[in-house]
Amino acid sequence: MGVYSKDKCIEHRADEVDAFITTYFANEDLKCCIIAGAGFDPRAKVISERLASLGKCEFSGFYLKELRSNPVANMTEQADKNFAVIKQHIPNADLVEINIFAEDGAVIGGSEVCKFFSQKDFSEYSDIVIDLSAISIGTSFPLVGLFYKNPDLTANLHLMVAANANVDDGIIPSEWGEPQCIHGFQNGYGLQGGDRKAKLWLPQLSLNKQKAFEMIASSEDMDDICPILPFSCRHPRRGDDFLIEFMNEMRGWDVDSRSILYVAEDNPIDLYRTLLRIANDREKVFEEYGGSMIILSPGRSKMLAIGALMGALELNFPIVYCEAIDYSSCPIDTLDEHFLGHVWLKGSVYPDT
Amino acid sequence: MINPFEKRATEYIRDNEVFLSIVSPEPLSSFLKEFAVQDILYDRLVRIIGTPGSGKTTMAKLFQYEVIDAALKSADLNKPIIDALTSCGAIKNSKIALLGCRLPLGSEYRAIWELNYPKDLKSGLLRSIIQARSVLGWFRQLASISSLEKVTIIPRSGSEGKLEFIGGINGESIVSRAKTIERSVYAITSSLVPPELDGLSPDAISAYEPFDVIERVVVESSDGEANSLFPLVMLDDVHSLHEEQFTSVCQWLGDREVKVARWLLMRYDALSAREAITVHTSSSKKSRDVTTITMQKGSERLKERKKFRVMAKDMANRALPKIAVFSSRNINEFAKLLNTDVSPLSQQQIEKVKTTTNKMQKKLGISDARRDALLKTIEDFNDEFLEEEKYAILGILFNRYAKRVPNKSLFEDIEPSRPIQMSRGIYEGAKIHLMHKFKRPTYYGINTLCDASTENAEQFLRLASTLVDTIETRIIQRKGVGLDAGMQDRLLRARAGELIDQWAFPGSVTVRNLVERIASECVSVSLAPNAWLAGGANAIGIPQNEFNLINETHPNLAKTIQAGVAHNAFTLIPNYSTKNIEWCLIELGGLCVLNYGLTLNRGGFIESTARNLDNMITERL
Repeated sequence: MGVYSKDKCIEHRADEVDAFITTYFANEDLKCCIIAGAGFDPRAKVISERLASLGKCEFSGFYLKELRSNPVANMTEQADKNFAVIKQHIPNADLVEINIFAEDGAVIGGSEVCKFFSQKDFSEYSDIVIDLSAISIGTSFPLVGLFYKNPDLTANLHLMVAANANVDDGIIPSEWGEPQCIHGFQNGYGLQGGDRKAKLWLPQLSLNKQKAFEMIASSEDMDDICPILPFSCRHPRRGDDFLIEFMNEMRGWDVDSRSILYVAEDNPIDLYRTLLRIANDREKVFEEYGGSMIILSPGRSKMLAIGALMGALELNFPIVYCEAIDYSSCPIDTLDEHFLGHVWLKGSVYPDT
Repeated sequence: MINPFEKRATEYIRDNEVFLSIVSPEPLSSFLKEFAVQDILYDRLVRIIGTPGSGKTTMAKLFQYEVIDAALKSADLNKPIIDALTSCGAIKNSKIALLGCRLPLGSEYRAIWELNYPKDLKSGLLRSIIQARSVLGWFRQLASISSLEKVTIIPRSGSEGKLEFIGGINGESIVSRAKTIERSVYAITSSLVPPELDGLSPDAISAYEPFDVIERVVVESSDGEANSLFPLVMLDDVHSLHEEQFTSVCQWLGDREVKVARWLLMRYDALSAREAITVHTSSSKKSRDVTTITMQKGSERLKERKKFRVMAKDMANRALPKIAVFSSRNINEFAKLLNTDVSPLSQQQIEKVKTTTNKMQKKLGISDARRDALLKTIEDFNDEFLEEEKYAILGILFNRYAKRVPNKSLFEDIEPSRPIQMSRGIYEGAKIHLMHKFKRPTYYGINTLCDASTENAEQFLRLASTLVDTIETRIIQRKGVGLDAGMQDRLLRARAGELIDQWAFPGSVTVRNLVERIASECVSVSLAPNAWLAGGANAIGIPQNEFNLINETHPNLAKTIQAGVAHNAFTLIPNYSTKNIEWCLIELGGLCVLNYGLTLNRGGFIESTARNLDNMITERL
């Protein structure tokens, strides 16, 4: 059984998040550091606004601005506006610019964010909230991993997200980098020495990701592919839409309907537990044949990304992705309600970890 | 069974026998044989440069030990490949001579450059992991045919002192040492925060140089016979490295003291913009220390086009029988499935062509006598033109005549300053006019498909796959074998458009801008009423002396051109001399030609400047 099995995981969704913030962060003795995105994504300010308005403790924060090569003008404007709003709610907010790419186009965002935060001292904080709403996974995952794997971390570690499928669909990458592992999430992927493990690839299908997933599928010799689709989601036909988008790719990958994994879109624990179950079953099967390797490729859904992250942190799954070089469109601020999520990842509530 | 026409199908195929049945040996003869004959393929650094899909990786796979072994085990089925490998020195006296392994250099190697360590240490880590993985690649292949206890190495003379650092001479201990080195470097590169200098594992920073030590690998077979193999490492995707890493690897492997054979496979964007353009536009060359082989060149294009047609047809004919619908009907020649007879336009459309031409005659004030003379000129050239072709050509000749007699009065018939002559180029121009105005098929037949592939194997397969899918469906539906010219034209143009829409490589946005602008101007010129560029334009030219300076004067344009060349959107033709001026032509790739409806024939270009092109990449249509 994993660390975050049903009874042990402290997690909240939708209205429960506000209730948790109101209750937990009412303690004025707490000192909380928020680490979030400060880009063009309209969700950048949502969690910070909520914390500042409902919580009573001291908040400060680091807000990451991901620098890419040729941002469209309105994206930069939007990012500046978002940060201005954040600053109103969190006066002690610092803007941190992170280069996602080196001059030659190599992806360095993950290593840059780790370099920055590994030099900071967080011992004064009782809680660290990492808001994944507006940070790309190439940056947020290494950031979470850095705190999660730090044995000296005394603060409680929380993950929060404001999920919105319409916003996800509105952010359209125009150019993709080469497939690679997220920084710090190699976990044996690519090692030549040692027994050859049976590789299972679990891509989480999303709109506008065909090209990226096709590149990943071409780059590595996967033994099996089981795409992840949302089922039990707020737009009932969403899973079908993704299937239609990926029809050609699924044919090329030789995937049939029995190989599709259905997980609840708004519950990261469902994906996390599914991954644990699959990993456990596969180890038993492949133990005598070199072992099993499960390779994750998260899609656009922030909630499911949390589930994938939790599984990867606990069981050391490699995560392979393609970094978006540029975006061709930027969603305007939406009146849609965002779906909030919180997972208490590490800290005093899990005394055994 | 995977469809061999699907993109990069050969890279999906794990089974060596299946791989061998699909792959064409032609590239080995086209690109490598001449260097093997000169004996400069294995004794020095070799750089193999080509666009994505040009066949570098597939060619490298053929030189892997396990693939050659599989080929020899079924020698009857693989004779052409065995012959090609023999001509390249990979097989001697029907025995494998090379121990080849291919090592793709992905982002993991580039990440070493981001570590906060001194440059020498970073270079050392890169060299260690490359060598460790090469050793593991070599011995993994041997382990499948022989116990590693029976594998030993012959060290280079004078390197005996370094043996202990690589694990000795025995296969098992060498592999064990390589695994240790790999894991120790991997632990550093895969950590979230790399260890401090004083926390580095001794194995990671130890002196480990198997490339300096290993001269031969000897495998003792079950019957006691010893086979001495020459190790070859093929580093693929070297363009992923940082510029300084790339330089350091080239210097390291360019050293003649390194005894293993070593090839670097890369795209043009591995090189600086300046070198990429230079290398792309000159013939393959050799120096004492480096052999450079370019898979596509701007020069020698007619020769390359012919070679590619042979290779592509061979590839297609090997792939076709792998699809059940074709193999069950003994269909194994792809060219025969692509009909080249063009149906005439409908009577109604022919009348429209005639009406248009007649109106043009009236508007330009051309006499009936002149019209008859021009018609005779056309018929003397070729009396088998279809009606619509004849009238489209006549329209062009009317406009040419009008241009040459500018001062004549209406319906006066004057001899033009230069006689109006008919040519093949004018016929090509008429076809372009008919394509745009009447949707007459232009792109059909195997040679057109080959030419539209811009000498790129993957592009050929991706274009061909749409035709193969449709033919397969028609056969199942009993609608006949083969595809008419009209259907081929529609499918190829649609497919080209799809593939361009799928461009998502770094720099693709500006490349697409530039392509759109150039194509738009080429279409305008191609549809000029007098077809002054004959078959039309498919390129834009800037003076060569301006082009030589674009890295300094227009760096964004240089980068865009480099990205476009690297991904087959453009081909560069330098020093193209016309009207006493030397031009550098930026010729649109085959996909762009199909998508925008331009000529596949080479030579027609629009004169421009570097500044104009630079403006194009920022302006959108």
